[in-house]
Amino acid sequence: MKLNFDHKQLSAHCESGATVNLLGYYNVKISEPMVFGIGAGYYFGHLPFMKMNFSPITTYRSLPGLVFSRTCKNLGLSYERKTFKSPQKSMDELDRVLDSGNPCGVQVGTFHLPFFPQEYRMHYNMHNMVVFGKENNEYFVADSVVPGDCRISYDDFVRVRYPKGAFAPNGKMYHITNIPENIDFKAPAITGIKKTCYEMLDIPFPLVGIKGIRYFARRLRKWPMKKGNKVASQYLGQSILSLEEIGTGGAGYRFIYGAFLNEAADLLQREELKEIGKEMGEAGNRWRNFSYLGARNCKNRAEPEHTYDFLADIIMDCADMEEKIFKKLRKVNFK
Amino acid sequence: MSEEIRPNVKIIDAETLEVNLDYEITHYKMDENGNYSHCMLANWGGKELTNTQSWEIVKERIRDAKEKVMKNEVSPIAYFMEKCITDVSTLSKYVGIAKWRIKRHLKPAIFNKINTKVLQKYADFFQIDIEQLKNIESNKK
Repeated sequence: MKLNFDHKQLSAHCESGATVNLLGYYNVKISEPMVFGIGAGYYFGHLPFMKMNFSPITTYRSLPGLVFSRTCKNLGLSYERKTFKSPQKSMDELDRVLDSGNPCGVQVGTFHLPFFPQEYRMHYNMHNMVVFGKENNEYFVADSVVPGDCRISYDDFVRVRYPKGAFAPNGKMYHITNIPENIDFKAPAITGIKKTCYEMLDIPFPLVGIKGIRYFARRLRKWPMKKGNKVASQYLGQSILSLEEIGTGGAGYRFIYGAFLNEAADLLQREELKEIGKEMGEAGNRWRNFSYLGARNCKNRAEPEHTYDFLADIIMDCADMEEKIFKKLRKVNFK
Repeated sequence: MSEEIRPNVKIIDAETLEVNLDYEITHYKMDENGNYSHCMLANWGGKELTNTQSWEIVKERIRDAKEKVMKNEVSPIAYFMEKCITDVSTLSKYVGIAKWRIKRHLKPAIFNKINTKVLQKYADFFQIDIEQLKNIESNKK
């Protein structure tokens, strides 16, 4: 059995891409930036106490799963999201959902994913893809990073749905159960913007939001003194990887969010959003600047080309820019 | 994980992996007028440097571990653990052996006394047979 599923667009962010694909199946036309904006995926967090690939985690988006659930909630769709302790039960449930004629999103680990490009196959457990059919013990999968439809065998699929380590998905699966007739994007876009403003400006915790960016800059300044040049460049390299490489669409989602603001300006007919979108792009360019210069430090690890103070100053700059942007965005009158 | 599931996907060989610099992923960009578009792009300006370094870290750890195994300072489990890019806590969850036991198994003297059943658990995750696990050089033949 194979659903008549169209793998629409290769997307930058895997979860937004999966959501776009899922919604596309029900004839809801929505773009990736729109999903990202409505789902309030924009975020920042620097978590030195959690390590991935032997370096502290720097995240530029919200927790996995939130973009999908928030998008559905804001758009007024009902959805079901489940995790299972037993792999057997989760596979049965997946078959049931597919049989009922719904494609299903799954969160998987990439280490055992056979069709994934080799250099991205680290222990990274927050990848999302859509399953849309089963045939002879093989599943059809639409992955936002890999062009075309992929096939994966039952046993392999169990393995990728049950990886271990940080953020283990435990067979997390989600699908849309009910969809209203007319979907209006206006109110959800406003809700998404407000949520993002709150998350970036108001969360009273020092490691996230704008405060988090400043905290990251302060930590970055100290890395060479505390850990030595070699480890500092390793940490820097990893944070740049998650800024540019791991499905961010460039500059840690800043460009996607700019695209969303641009689209929202047309949708809501607010010219000021276009202005802010442009500023967002400039902030994105500044981040790109940081990753471009920072990457040079990875070349010769023992002798950095640029001082870490210089790089930290760029990030402080980004923090100032973004603070200005979100304070402005919060004041936009949508009535 | 239940016993009968035997995934046939090959795990990557981190030791000899070459980074493919031409793989294209979606990138968004803004032009001077503030309009956005997206395109497939392989390199944003520093892909080679960061990606190569990130694998270089892994490869360096594998080399270190291998040297130590050769000097008989740690058991071969350490080498294969690094080869699968895992640490003790992740490995513990995959093979279902407690962390303190794995740490114990990293000592060569104790590694020689492990029974076949436990070795098989490690070998299953590393996707090798027990002979290779006992002697990392036999891997190359």
